[in-house]
Amino acid sequence: MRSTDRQKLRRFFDNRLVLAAKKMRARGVSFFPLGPEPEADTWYTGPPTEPKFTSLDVDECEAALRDLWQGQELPELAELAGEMMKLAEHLEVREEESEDISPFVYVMY
Amino acid sequence: MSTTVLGISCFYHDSAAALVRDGKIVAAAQEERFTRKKHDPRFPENAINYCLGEAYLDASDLDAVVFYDNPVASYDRALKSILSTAPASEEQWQKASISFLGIKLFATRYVHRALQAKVPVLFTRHHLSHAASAFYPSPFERAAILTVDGVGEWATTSIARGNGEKIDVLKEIHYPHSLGLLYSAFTYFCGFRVNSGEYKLMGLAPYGSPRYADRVRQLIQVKEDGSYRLDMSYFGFLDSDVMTNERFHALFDGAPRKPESAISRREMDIAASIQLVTEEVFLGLARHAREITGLGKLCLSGGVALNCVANGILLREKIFDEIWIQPAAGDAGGALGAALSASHEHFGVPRTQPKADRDSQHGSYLGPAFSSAEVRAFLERHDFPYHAVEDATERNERIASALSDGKVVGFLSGRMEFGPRSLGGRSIIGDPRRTETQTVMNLKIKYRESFRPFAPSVLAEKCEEYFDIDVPSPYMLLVAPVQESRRIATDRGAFDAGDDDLLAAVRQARSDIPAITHFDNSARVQTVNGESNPEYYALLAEFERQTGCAVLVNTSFNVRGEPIVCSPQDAYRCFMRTEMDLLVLEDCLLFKEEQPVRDADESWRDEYALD
Repeated sequence: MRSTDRQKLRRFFDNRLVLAAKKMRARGVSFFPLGPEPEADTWYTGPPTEPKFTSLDVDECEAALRDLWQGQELPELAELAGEMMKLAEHLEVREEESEDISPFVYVMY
Repeated sequence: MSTTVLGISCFYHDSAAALVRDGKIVAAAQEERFTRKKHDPRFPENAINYCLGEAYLDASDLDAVVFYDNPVASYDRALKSILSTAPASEEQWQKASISFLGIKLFATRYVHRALQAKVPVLFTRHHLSHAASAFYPSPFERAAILTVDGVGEWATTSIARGNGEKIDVLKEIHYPHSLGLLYSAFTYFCGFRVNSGEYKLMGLAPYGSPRYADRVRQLIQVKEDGSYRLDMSYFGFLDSDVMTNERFHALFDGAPRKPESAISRREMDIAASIQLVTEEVFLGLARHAREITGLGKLCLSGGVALNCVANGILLREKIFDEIWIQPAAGDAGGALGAALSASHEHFGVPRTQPKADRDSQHGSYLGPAFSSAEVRAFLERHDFPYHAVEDATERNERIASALSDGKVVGFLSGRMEFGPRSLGGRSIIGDPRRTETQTVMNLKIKYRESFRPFAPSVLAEKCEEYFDIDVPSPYMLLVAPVQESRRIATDRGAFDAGDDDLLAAVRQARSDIPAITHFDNSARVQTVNGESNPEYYALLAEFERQTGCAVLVNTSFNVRGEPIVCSPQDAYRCFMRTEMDLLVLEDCLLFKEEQPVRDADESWRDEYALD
């Protein structure tokens, strides 16, 4: 990754994402439980509501992300969707350039 | 009018492509086999070209390309995971941005660029892909489906119902609570690579005692209905580059084992403990799947379904009457599931009526084959000495005779397997009656850890003479005990007293087929029938005729860190770099002593990162 990309990402993280995370935390948003909630009857979730098949060109991602986060009442993220996709257009790489991920962590990215 | 769908999985690990025409599987292959980079996550251009070539198709003939998961949903999960620990997670953000914003969201562009055709591109759900890969090729009209892996979008576990052409996911467990990630955390902690070393951890478990099981249970709590939660305060994967943290290390008596260092009793006991707890959780999920579907048949997929010890226990517990497991249960199989799912559920292709005793996975021989003419052209071009033995009976007599003399044979025959196991298409085979076979194969041929067991191939109709299992196991996904009558009492005194010398323990004969009898008298069985692989079946039958033993040692045709060989070129290279004695390339036999002198340069080992 070029150092300018790294800087751009760091700025976005510091100036946008950390701020969004703070705001969401302040209003009690939690994305997932970090441990067992003993009071719950079950730890299963119900059937997924997403469609089984979608088409998705990169031009449609901004709307898809905004809709997803608006539907989840996460305006802090929804308003960042446009900037994220600008970053995406800037970052688009041929995957040969991508870094290898540590062999000691499950590949989730 | 036919319907042709190409499924692809990529950008995480084990990228692959699969082609399905009118609901029938035509071809499937992993990209690593062509690029020679193990677990290659890159866009599967070579695998796609192979699939299209196998079906004599151009990209423009495709009705759709289906990606095996949804990158927007996966990005949502990755971003929220990062936000949950921000600002500590800046490094994760950098990595996730390159991976998602720089690559995954552009998947449609990748497809169009690679195929040079504006084929419709669809995205489906990760666990639906796994479920489809398990259900549609199974011999069941209706079945419960259980998928368990690390994570896909948000899901880590799903329970579904398959009925004809339709799959309904009923329940899920969501990230970060994941049985697959729990197992991977212990894989890392015991000094093995995540995503490839899980198999080693499972193989190590029988040497240990599950004295840490209660501590493992502190990390994962399970409800009556089988649902579970991890206590994230022990894990590092939300905010660091490793799976575990200091709290985890304190619970398990110190720092993680350094890769390639000596394996101590602690790692053996931890391996036994996580294996035991994994089995408990797995059985709980299966019981709930049976309860909520009311169905007696089960299909399994997802990386955890490659835990063949747990699968064997599930079978013996008889929670379900019948079980079918997708042989490419990891992410590579997602390509196949995506293609099958879209064929049946999006395009409405009717599912062929399953036959009670036969699946439609074609033995998982779904990859490239090489004709005898192609093999000979290769050998002659390089002037490699060979013996063409066209008569199959004579050929098998010579191979079986070499095996019974203790020779180790590289065997390339027919189409390459799809999935991580070699099933007689690209295998290294040996005589299971010899105690030394395991050590020789591990240390002089595979160059891998001495404790790792080898698996047996057995004539299907003779299976019960050797192993305590009464169902076919064609994909080497079930572990079963070696029959008690074949076992030999061993002296475990020194080992049980604390001597950690695994090699000494391994070298003790435990049965009359010692090379495939693991430390706990178990074996990962492949039953071979005459229908799905007649060539391999005939070789086994000839070995039995000559020796009275209907079993062969069967391990994947590669060295440690190398993808399984695909072509005759790959096979010859691997043959010459190891101490294999005989190479079979279709109807050509190559003896090591007749080949040009081996290059003493060992630098080739650097090509393959140790897995």
